[in-house]
Amino acid sequence: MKHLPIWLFCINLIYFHGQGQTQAKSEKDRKTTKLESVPQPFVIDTTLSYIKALRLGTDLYRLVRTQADSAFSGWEIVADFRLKKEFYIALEMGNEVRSIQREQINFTTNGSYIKVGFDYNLYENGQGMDNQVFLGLRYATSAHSQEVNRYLVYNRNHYWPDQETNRGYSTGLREGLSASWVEVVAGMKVEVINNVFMGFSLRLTRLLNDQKPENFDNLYIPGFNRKTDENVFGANFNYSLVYRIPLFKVDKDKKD
Amino acid sequence: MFQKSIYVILYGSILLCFYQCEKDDICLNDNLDTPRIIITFNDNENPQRRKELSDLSIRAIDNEMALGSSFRDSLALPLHIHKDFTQFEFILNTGNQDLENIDTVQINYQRNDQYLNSACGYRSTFVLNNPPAYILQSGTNWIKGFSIKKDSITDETSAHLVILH
Repeated sequence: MKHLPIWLFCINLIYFHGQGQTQAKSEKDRKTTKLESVPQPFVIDTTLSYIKALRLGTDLYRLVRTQADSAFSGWEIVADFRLKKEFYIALEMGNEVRSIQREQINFTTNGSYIKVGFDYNLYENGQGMDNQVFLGLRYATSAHSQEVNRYLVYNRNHYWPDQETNRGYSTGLREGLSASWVEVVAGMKVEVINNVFMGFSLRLTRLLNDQKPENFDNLYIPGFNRKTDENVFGANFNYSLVYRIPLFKVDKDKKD
Repeated sequence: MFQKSIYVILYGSILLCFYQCEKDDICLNDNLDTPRIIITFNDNENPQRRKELSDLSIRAIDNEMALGSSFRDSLALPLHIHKDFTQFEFILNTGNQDLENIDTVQINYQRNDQYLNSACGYRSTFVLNNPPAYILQSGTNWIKGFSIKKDSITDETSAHLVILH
């Protein structure tokens, strides 16, 4: 199960490799045709035109993990809208239910999150291509609950046998919790079939605030991933499969 | 640009794989754990004054493990966290056939668990009931009474229960 992210990553790399090769070839073709053809005075500068579109899709990692890992169930919707040629408004929203066994505590986190922000594309595409290598920012917020299922009391004196507490005392559900954080996003999206994109993104996060459960802590926050005791930073990622709904084509607009 | 970006993201992804192991997986809490109860032995005639015992040894009921012996005027005992009482045999003049006197004592308390951090989890603290303890058998008891010094057992720095004799 631990190798799943690595496998998905490899699959993505293979896609990229293939994509990169075809791209190099097409660029070469274009250069030679340009040299041979007679320059025309009224040609539209196609490098500045782009397709305005809404992209909708899903995170694959959470879907696969839901099938493979009995302690996890979740989904994430991925969407972006192309506002300018290289500038996208981006959104992710999802839900996660995850049970985690830590050294002494077993707990279940259940909740939803939404992330809103933008992506800026850094990749210079050839003609007719819409691949992305992007950097972005998100503001994210979650609404969740924490349930302590069972725990082993920390006791360095082992005179009496250690035995898990699985009801009463500090076990139980803590509801109505929330957290908010910001994410710095780095990722890529590649058009694998016409209008279908695959990609992944890595997110480094900084927690802004979290409402702590009574006599417990937000050790895991949906959408944020694990929270450490020592600092407010974290990381998470997604693998997206999105479909592009083309709205219209924007031709040569120098303002973008 | 494209190549560089790939390296940055690749590097980041590899970092993420190691993200699973971190400092707060290890419990490094040195002073806060589940406390034992501290008992002192005082004079029944003058309850404020400590009074030493001769050859006291202690056995817990339902546990064969030794708790130590040759206590003088105070001791620390582990409480059972999955019960709201723990029973001990306080044996005076251990080994002396004529003078040996065993008093079986039940200590009553309520347990609360306090969250420490992700690696250590919870520790237990206790609140002594009122009365905090009683002797289970009748006869000639060397223990004359109990009094609460501090009813909340949250640390081992001061006495919680006083046994008068």
